[in-house]
Amino acid sequence: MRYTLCFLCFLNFLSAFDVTGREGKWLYTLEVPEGWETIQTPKEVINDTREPLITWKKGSLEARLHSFPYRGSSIPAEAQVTRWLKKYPTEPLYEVFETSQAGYTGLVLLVEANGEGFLGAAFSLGERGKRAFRYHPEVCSDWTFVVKGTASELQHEKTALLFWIESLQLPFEILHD
Amino acid sequence: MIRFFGGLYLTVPLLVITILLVAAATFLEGQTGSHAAAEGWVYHHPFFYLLLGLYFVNILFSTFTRWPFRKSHIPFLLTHLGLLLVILGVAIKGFFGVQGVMRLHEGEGSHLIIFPKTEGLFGKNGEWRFSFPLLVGQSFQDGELTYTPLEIFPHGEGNWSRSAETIYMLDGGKAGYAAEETGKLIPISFEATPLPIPEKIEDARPILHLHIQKGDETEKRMLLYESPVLEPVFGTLLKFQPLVARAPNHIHLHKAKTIYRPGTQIPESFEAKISVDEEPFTLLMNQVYESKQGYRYYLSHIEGKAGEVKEVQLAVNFDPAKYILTYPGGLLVVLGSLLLLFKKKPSDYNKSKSAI
Repeated sequence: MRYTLCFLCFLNFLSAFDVTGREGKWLYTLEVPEGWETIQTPKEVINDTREPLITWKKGSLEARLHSFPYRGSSIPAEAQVTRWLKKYPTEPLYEVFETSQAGYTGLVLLVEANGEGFLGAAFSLGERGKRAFRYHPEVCSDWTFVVKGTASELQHEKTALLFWIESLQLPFEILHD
Repeated sequence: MIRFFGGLYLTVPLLVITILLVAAATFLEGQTGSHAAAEGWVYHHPFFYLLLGLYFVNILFSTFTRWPFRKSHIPFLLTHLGLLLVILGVAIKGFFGVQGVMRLHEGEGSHLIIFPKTEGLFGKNGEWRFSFPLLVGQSFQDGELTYTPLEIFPHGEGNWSRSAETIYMLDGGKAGYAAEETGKLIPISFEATPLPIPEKIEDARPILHLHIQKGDETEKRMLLYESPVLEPVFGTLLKFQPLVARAPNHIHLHKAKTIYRPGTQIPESFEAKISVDEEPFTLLMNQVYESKQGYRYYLSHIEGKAGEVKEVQLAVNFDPAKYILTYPGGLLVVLGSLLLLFKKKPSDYNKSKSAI
């Protein structure tokens, strides 16, 4: 019951949002928590995967959504986590957990180092999804969601950010066989 | 006649038989670990339904033994009327209700209710077409093809024997073809072998021995129940699986998770975020969603480890008599029982009279 109430309360300050994909096609739908300012990447086609599809800001926090074109294989979520951890010269305090949603599987990383906070989520479409969208490789893109800012603000927003990540899904269903 | 059907001569044997049957079913379930065995032999056996019918007759006639009714009969009448409504509600649910499951992976949506333990044949030549329940020896036609179920073996196993020289099965075996190293496509054909029935009936996987005719050509196939791969015959993919029906609601599964006790791998709770006709809802272990059409959706099972796409099984239940018969019947039984409890006994009347 407490989980439902928590979720329902949370929904009150979420707003639906659609994100345009790397190839200029509408690709993801997600629920943005209240108070986040949207900064659209001013390009129709984004070829450089280092550039985000979209950026959001709130206080010191900056959230970025990236997608990585699917070319027959996915980037393992572990590789993304390792890449993120390598940016810290000394071993930081971190937590990683596995998760899945909307046909995607992935890892979420939470890091705290020298007063700075980092939250990274890396997801790939599962086998059933890849089979269902085999003729639409743009749908099979991997995606990452990265939030950086002060550790205290990130800690304060942690629950909302995790719900935000959880809300990301494709705008169409994986066909049920 | 009324005295017999409404009297203890019928009530006592009915109660004794019911107690013995329920005890036997409990013992059977304990020994085999199979609820399906207890259901098949006792709870869903026609004899058990006959017992329910006799209870109805017994309660109805015993009510009329009090005729002409007086004010003091009200608690008795309410209790008996409540019991009759409950039994009638159970019968209507049995005949016109729906009790099935929905299986969904995260990200998927469906409106198909599956009825476990039923047997149907499905054919796909373009679109999936659903069959009627299978009856051995009874042919049915679908387009140019005539299907005749020759036999249904209660249990067996199937093997795809040519995997060594194949590269992969197209669409995970669901396309009905596998590709050889030479690039040649070969139709999938399962070799199914009948086996003795396992002790736990739930583990049994029936095999359908099917005769298919197209004009002068004929084929015979052994189809494994809920086979992971499909077999094409005369260009039609065949599936031997539970019957399905269309639910009035479209269910989409967004996320499912198992919540563990802190610091352990012991599940504490289960949770599934679904949308019913695009309305979001979180199903918990004991939290049911009831749609406007009266269909109830329960979270019955979550499969998949952390980091895997989870599969959820929802129990789907529709009871058309619940609000008009079963629940009012239950209320009447409670009310009647309370009135019986607080009703003045004949000795109380005598005491009051003597006091006067």
